[in-house]
Amino acid sequence: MEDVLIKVNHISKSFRIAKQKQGIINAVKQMIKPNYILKKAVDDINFTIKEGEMVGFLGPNGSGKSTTVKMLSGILHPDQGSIEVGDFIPYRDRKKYVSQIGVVFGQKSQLAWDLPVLESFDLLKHIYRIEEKKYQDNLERFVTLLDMKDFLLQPVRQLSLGQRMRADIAASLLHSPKIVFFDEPTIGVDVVGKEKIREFIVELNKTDRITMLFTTHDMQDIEKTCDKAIIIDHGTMIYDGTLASIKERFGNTKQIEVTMDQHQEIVTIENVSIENVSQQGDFKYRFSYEKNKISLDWLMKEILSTYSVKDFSIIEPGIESIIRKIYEGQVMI
Amino acid sequence: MKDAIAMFYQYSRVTMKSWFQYRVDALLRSLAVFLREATGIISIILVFTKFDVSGINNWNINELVFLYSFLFSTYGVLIIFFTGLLDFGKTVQDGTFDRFLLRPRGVLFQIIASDADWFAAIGHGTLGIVLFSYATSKIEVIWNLGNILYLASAFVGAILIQGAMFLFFASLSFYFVKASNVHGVLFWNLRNIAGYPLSIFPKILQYMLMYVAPFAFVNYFPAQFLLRNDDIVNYPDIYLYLTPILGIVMYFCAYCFWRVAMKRYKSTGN
Amino acid sequence: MTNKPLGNVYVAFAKKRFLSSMAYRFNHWMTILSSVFSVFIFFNLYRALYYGNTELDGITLSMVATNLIISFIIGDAFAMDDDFLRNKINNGTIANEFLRPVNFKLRILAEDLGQTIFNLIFRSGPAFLITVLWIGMEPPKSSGHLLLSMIALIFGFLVCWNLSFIVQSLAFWIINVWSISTIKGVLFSLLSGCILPLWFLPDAVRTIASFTPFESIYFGTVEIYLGLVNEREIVAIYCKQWIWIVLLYLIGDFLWKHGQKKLIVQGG
Repeated sequence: MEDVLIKVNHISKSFRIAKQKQGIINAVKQMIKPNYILKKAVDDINFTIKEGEMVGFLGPNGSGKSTTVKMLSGILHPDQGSIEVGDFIPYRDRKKYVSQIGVVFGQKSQLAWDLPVLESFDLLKHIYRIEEKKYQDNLERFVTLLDMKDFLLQPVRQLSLGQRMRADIAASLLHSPKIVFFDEPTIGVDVVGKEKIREFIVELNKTDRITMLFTTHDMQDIEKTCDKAIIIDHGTMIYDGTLASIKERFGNTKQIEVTMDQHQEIVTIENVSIENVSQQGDFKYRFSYEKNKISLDWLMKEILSTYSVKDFSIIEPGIESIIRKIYEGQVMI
Repeated sequence: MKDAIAMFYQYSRVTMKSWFQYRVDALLRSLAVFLREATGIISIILVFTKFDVSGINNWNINELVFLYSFLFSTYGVLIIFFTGLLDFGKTVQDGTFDRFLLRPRGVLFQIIASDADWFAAIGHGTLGIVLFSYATSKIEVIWNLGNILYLASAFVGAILIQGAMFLFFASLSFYFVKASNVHGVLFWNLRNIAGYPLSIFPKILQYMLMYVAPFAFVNYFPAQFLLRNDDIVNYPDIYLYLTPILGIVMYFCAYCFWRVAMKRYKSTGN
Repeated sequence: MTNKPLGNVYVAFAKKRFLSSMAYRFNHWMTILSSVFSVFIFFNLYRALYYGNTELDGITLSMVATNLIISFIIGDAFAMDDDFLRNKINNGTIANEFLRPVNFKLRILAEDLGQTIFNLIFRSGPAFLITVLWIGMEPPKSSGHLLLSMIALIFGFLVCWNLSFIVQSLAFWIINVWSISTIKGVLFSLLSGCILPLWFLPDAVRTIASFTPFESIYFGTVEIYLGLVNEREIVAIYCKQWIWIVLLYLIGDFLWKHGQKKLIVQGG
């Protein structure tokens, strides 16, 4: 049951980029003789995804996420390495392959701007040659799940971003794809809208066992939907594993925030960094320590015996702060 | 084939509906296209009204209109099938092309079908038919079976020749960020002058119109087939018959280039 | 505008446009080629028309060439983006423009001037040299005539710009100004003399043209340059240009103010 569906073998991809410099003279130079630099967008990325898995694909802007998704969906060929999805090689058997996948680009709608949502759906029915029965069933189900009844007959240009995105997601799923790639599916959508989209995605994954890959830089998207995450930065993969183990591996640093009742001399403790985070009128310090070097109760005892403490709280690092640290290079893999 | 026609119909239905969202705008747009296209012939008529010139290289005003009408009637059909290739650079850059790649239909078919410009087709086509009817009523054309058959096949050939150029320039968009201007220089500029008898231009331009962007085969040679004006002696006889074959050959070559260019896009991106 | 707008803000806008014009290298050379090519074609067309004649109604082929070069090559530098305002309205950035402490109209003018100067140097310059070497051109009647024709050219730019501004302002009412812009282009080709020299128009059409602003864009420059007009007529040309500048400005201003109000009431 847990079969490997997507196999990505050491893929790389480079682009040629025109070098731009400031100033009038350089602009003239560039006009006459352009300079190019080769940029490696994806560098030796390697992973597998099992059938029915939901995987978050994380990375800052320009890290190579979209390029990877384009290669997975068959738009681009990798320069090196290979991709297999089930029995397909995405960039080879295009027509057969794409009828099995759905792709949602958050930045670029596939709906006809001036027409009611339903018109675009109807066109897609013909493009994908979806049987009438299946089309009606899917439509009915998505309209309910995504709460689209109110705006199904409205022109796309009048929809809010959240509504448009829901319609776009439904559009990519009408032909019952086995795999769906989401490229920033919640970008610019408000909190309620995001929640609806996430719920829908989780529901669909559960009931239809659709394999999904998500690119996003909204960590909540990942935390609420995915079980696995792949993190890339500057084109290279820096993490591939479960979300829980990210926390385990990188969530080693814990913090205690201590509020004291008056100003006190701070004494250094070995292996603990202390940071003054006092705001007006209070005396707050943050003690950071490594879980595997120091135990919590030992540190608490130390603190309570040294200072007179008014209040304290223990801070668990969230996935977001961990990943920010990974990008910033503070945590090495 | 039947499936393709049905799909084409579906796409056109959607395009039409979009257009009818803005009726006034659609009407204005058609008018604008019509006027823009008619500018050349209006200019000629104005000049012929002002001066008592016998014609341009022995082509009188009716024959010039005849020459013009070919350009428009073929373009009227062309624009139904090839509008999607017109602003193709933009299609590639804004990601619309990627979307085509993600659908289980022929890429070129989607580009063609999703953008059929029926309104412009009506504008150009009407102008073409009006000019054609007017001109043929004033000049002597023998309507025998041979001529009719020739005209029909030349009509198709002329559409294919221009379609091949559209396809060629669209393929260039995969290589250059802004290839639309090559299209501009070669296609539109040469098309503008194709409304006049080939023989009035310097040799280099004549060569360009015959061998680079072969508009001479779109209207000049087919028109000469029927008119046989004196200036035809400058060109090989065979050219009069070449249009249909040239259309097929050019379109085939352009299609091959398109395949190559698309492959390149997939391997280099944009 | 209550606070004094800083002159160098507009210089910055002009400079920005100037620089961004340099970005598209390939496009650029193609545009030059395109203008040269157009002039060359029309020249050949007229030569065919002249076939055997040295002049038609006192107009020599060389005068026609001069008309083409001035109005087509130099006039081609006149930068007007009829879609500028439309784009701003469509993508919603128009609201930010109203908030900036900058006169929006002056800002558009500054940008278009930046573009025009760029075009004059880098586009019309090379195109001018090529066409003059290729098809030749009449010298100006005198250096004085040259200077006076340049002045008419600047006024012509202002006529042209105000005309474009009117088309732009229509964007407040019309979804797509492309059609209007294209129809303007047709009238431009037929009545400004840029492709079809006004000498070649039938008298009735010529009279119509003289009542339109299109005639005041390039044609005065050509007539002064060639010395076809006397001092009094030169003054008349300038006056007519200014009448159009003022009139078109007022119309544009009217449309602009009402459009702005409409936009604010409807909230875009």
